[in-house]
Amino acid sequence: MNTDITALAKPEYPVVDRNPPFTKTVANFSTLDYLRLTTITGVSVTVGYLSGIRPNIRGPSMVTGGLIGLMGGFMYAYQNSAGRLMGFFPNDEEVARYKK
Amino acid sequence: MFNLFLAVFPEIFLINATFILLIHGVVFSTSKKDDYPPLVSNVGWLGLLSVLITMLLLAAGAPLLTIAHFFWNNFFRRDNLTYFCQILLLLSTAGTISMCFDFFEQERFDAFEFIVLILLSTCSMLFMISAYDLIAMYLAIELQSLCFYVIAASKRESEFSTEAGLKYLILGAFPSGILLFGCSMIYGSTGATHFDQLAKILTGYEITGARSSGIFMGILSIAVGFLFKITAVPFHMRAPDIYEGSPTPVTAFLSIAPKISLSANMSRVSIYGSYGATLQQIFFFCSIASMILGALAAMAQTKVKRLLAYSSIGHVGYICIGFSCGTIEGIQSLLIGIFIYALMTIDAFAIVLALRQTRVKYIADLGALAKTNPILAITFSITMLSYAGIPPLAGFCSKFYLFFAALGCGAYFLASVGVVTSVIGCYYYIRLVKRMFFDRPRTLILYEPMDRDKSLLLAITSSFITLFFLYPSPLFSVTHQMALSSYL
Repeated sequence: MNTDITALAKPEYPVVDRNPPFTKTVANFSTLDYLRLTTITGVSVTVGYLSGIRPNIRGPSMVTGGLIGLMGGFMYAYQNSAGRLMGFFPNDEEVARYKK
Repeated sequence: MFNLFLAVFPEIFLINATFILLIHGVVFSTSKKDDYPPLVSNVGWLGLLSVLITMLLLAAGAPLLTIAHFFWNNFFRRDNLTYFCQILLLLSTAGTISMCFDFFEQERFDAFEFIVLILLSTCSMLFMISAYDLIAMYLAIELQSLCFYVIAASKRESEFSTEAGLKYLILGAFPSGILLFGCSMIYGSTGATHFDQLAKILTGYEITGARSSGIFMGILSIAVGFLFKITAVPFHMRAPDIYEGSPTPVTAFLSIAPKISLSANMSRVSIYGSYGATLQQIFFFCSIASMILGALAAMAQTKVKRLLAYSSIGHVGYICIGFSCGTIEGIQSLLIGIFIYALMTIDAFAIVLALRQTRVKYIADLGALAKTNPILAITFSITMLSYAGIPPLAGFCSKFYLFFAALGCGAYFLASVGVVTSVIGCYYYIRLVKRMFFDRPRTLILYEPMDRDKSLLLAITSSFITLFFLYPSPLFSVTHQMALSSYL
């Protein structure tokens, strides 16, 4: 099984790391990534709370919404961080930090 | 290793969210402490949120979707066609879920599993759109079908719903078997299931003897299986009964979502996997038959949902024109047709759901609509005229492009049948408009105002239908890219 990470589309920006490990990608989360994660989680918790009012399960619904939002927010942030390291998204900061 | 899965982040998220919602539903709907709360709206809103987050992951991560293409290429192809069809599918799912909330309240519908099954079938259709192997395609189709059998019968106290689910199960298992038989014949004759390998073997390669008949039977069986699933003539028999018997949101979902995913998959199989005259001839015949039957049978209908079912069969015929052409313009026109059809159908079913509040089932019950709710009557009229293909509405643009593609590849008979059936179809669409505006009502029905979610959905879709002609080029250029990528 071919596990080469090469993408069909060529990266538009300088490649910092072609196949960054999980820890490096998470360590590379920027302020915007954390903001995205927090926003998506916050919106999901709110939706969970509001939808839980009628059946009277506000707390558990908030937790479920929070879980979904946290997972989605983390995946979105990870996607952006990995994309910057792989050269698919604008990555001036990463280039400056890693290619000194 | 983890980065291998970046390409399928949207699917992974949606599956995990579905399981979280299933566990949430099971735990709290059976909770004595919380007095066994009805959870369908709660799970519905969280499900809608999950679909929107999936769309965000898909849209924002577009360049990353082609990562590890050798790893995924054994089963899935991530290209422009996959990307845009998945976005359209998720938009349709979000639209369908958002029109359900009022239905849950009005009908006292309390099965949260309904939303979980919708999400699970959406996951399967996301895989189906990108499937690049006969086995992956079959597994995705089966997962989608199994979910649909259950949601068609989800209204347990209704005999019609149970009948619809049972019909769907029996008449859906049969084409699945035929499809698998076709896949096995192709594999037995060629030794390949991957579309890349099949393209090399089947395109421009002369095969003689028993192997040739095996391949022919395989392609025929796969085509029959597909045509059953999209309810094209002559495999359409179950569609009106299932669409009428199922709960209305289920009918809306069945009318829209499988058409998108199956059309995307069929275009890969027919254009890339097994390009040739066999499939084109089958689609040619089924397109003509679907257009004619859809037009003629709908004229005799007295119920709104059955009329929309036959209208859907007719539209499948128009969409099959794109397959029959076998050209890039054909695929482009097919994609334009699917997109506009999805929006028109969401619009139509949102209106039907709004009318269901006052128990409107028959066309004759629409008599007072223009007097009691003129805005709804105008919106419904615009949708029906768009279905009929009256310019300058969006439906006219989709039909125009389909007939143009047919003429471009020399299928003059196909285009002329399409035009004639469109004219015949105008009769029953305009009959609805006449009923709403000019006929005296049989009984006076007071129409209740619709909820905010459906109003917003109707505003968006009817604005698109009305104003599409002003700026159609973004859709044309996007669908052109999608069609080109399916040929590469």
